[in-house]
Amino acid sequence: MGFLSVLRKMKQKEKEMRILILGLDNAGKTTILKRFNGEDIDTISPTLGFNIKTLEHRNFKLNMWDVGGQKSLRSYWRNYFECTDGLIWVVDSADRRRMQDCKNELHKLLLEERLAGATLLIFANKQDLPGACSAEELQEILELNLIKTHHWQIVWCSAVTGENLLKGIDWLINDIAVRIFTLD
Amino acid sequence: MSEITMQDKLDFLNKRETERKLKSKQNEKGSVENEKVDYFEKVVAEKKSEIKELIEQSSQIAQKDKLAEHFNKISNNILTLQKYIASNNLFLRTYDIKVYQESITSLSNEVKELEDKLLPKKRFNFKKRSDVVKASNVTQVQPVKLDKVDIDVGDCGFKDLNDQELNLNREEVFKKDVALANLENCTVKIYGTPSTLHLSNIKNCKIYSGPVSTSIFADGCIESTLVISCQQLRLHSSKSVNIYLHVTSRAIMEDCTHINVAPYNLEYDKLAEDFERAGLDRNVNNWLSVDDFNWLNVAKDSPNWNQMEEADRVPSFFI
Repeated sequence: MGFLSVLRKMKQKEKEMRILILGLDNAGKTTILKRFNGEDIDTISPTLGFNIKTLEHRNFKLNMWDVGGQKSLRSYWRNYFECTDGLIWVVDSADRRRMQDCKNELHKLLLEERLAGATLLIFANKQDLPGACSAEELQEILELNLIKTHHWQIVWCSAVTGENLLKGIDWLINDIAVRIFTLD
Repeated sequence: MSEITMQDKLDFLNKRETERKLKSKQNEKGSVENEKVDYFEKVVAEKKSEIKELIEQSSQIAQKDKLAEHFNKISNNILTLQKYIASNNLFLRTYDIKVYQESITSLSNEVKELEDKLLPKKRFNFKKRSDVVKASNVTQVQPVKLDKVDIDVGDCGFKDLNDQELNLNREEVFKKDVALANLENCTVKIYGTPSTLHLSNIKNCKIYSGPVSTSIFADGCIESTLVISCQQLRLHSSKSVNIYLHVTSRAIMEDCTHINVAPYNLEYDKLAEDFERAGLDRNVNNWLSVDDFNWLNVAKDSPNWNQMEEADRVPSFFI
């Protein structure tokens, strides 16, 4: 097996993207993943460890990694950083009590060298709840304008109703695709 | 007569043939899986020894520009190998991925050291750049202030109260995010179906709630009784809490001790109707499915929570 065949094998996988879904616990990461994949969301339990899903979307193969957000799991997040093309940061927009925590964790994450170059999508989730912060409010609270190291975008959504999930993920895929493979 | 038996034989043989094919296909499938891993390991090992050889050769090259070229080649090879490993991480075990990554790191460190020794003037371009990135990141994170946001505002709920009887009715909580914070010696009755419920810093309280359609997030509950039903329960940093629980998926706890769990037994008018409104199945209650994040040991039960003795349980709560 020559090295050329290795390269050829890699080329076949060109249209693959690795997407990491992170956020505080109770943000709705698994619900987003399952809703996007068209699965039942009523039986989701708090994630002990992680879920991986490979889905086909717009001819791309998305390897989605959803890692639990409990405090005791956050130190393991870094085990998943390698080769990440896109990062989805999920925020419980109604949980104003933990916004500070959420902001700190996000900005800490963006210092990671292994995530440098990854596209960042922030999902302002749980917009179905009446007290939820708007995406604009969150942009300010989470100080997103300070992010200069990553392409980022904030998109409001509701994983429960499924609203706007597609919009966010399409933006993410486009941004990654432009960067990695030239978009067709 | 002989033709019929011939036909039978042919049929029999055909059947055998198909069966054999099916069987061999199945075998193939299994072996393909193995081959994938084997093949991968072989390629990685080959590439690694190639790189090592290149590294060994480098000390014999005297010309500087040739040496630089040589190092370039090595680092390109390492990068390709790294990408190859990463692109195959779907079928590798986490542990293996870690081992591979470590071996790559040690390879690139070796190359770096050698390059620094043999080509002290020439430096990697991107090294400088990564310094710059770091610097800008540091300035980025410093402004940590968020005081302008009122953290405890919620549409619906109570906070900073002592010794009170508090009620919320069906219309008030319907599809809302209900928050209870900083309560002491209080009794809270929530009739109806909130969308979610947040509890923080609850001391010596009794909290009764109708079916919560998504999750309950509780943090810092001490010496209290919770009578709650929900799809998910997350309990954090709590101590000495009795929970009468109905949970349709699972409950988790983190940094908690002395938690006692019993099945939900709240009674009020229209409770059955509320279960339906919340979309919770009254017949599915996984109150004993509690995952303790501080006790990742499947062989032994977590010492941080217990099933409440039946004798100690309150038979039912009427509110």
